[in-house]
Amino acid sequence: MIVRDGDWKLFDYDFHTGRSVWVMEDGNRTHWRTDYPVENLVRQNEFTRHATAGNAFGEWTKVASIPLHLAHSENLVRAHSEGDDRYVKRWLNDGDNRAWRSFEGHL
Amino acid sequence: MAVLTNTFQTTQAVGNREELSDVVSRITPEDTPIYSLIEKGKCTTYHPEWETDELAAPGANIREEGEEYAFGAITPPTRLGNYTQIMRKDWIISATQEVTAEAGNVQKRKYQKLKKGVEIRKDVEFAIIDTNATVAGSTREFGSLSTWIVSNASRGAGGANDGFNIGTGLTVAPTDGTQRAFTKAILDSVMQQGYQNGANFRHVSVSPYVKSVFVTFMSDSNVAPFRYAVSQGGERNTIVATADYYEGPFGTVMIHPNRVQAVNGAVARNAFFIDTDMLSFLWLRQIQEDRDVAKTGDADKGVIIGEGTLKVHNERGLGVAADLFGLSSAS
Repeated sequence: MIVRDGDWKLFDYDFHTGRSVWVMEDGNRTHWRTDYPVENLVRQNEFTRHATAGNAFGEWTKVASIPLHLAHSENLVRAHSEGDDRYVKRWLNDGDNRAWRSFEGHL
Repeated sequence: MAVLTNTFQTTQAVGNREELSDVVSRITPEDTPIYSLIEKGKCTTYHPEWETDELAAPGANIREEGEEYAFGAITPPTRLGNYTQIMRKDWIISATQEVTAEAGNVQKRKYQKLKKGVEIRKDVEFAIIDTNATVAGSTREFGSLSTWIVSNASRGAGGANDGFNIGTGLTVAPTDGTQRAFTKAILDSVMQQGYQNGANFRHVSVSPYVKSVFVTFMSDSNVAPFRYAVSQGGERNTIVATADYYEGPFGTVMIHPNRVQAVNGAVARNAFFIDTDMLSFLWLRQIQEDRDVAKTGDADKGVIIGEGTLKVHNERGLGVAADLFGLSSAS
């Protein structure tokens, strides 16, 4: 059975996380789309930020939980591998990415 | 030399095909964390070899006045190697099925090709995290990551390292120890061993269950107790599908859940600590379609094949916390 969303065809579905990967052929190129449900994660991160507010940076402080596809597409994984901490920290300190932070404080 | 006017270059072309392996690598890279993280290279033989050399450990260096020189022996670099492994995926579609669907033959083939390409990439990831020792001969197997690591390892009671055997040129699978729960002490032990051996661990790849245990480390006694929000009914556990960024005592580390490590208990029991400079994957034959498969019968056949090996530049740059409960609190 082929599951469709308009011209998009379901390529992969992960029951555990709800991630779906869609593919679309326009006759010339193959397009990919990944849908991640992140509502829960945004709320979890917000909850964690509040729960740890006022804590000092202890041992093994979880600073951020970033959706996997975003970590790759925003080049955070690559930058972190290459030791470009400035890039990663700038990204994490950016107010636009606050939803993925699970611990307050400037890195 | 200058390029003649009107020379048609690849940078101007719009219809050049990308290699299948490049396309396959870009689709959901998060599904194969270790393979996506490490550098991909090429090798020209089924048994690529490389060397490692190291400085002597620091020690007291005190000499007497007027002393005659004495010369120490030079230790030759250690010669390491791994064998390539052939991986294949295939499909066969009856000619009737081919025309039944509305999509054309090319697109159906293309779809299968991509699907099998992604599957073969997951098989590469599986081979990396598997527990296979190196096997030479015609059905070669590359020594997986867990068989290489000896320097930075934390194992359960009765567990033992084996690693690369210089005499045979093969790796030997480690001896499993008694399984135990993942704790902060195990984590710190591997991180510290790595730090002392010069490793720079930046990524940790674990089974999804171990990642959920990792989160509880935040509830350390020296920070305020932490409670977790319970998922509301019907909601997905998206918290598992995240890269977590931790500030730890030995630097910042990114924790990746690896679904391939959840395939069975044998691979879920290891947590890998990775310095991406110390690991790469060498392709002898990149993932590609065999276009010369003979057509026989009333069907369309396809084969995707690749041959490559894991290059562990220096196992001191890698670590493993082995014998963990990787699937649940008791398995």
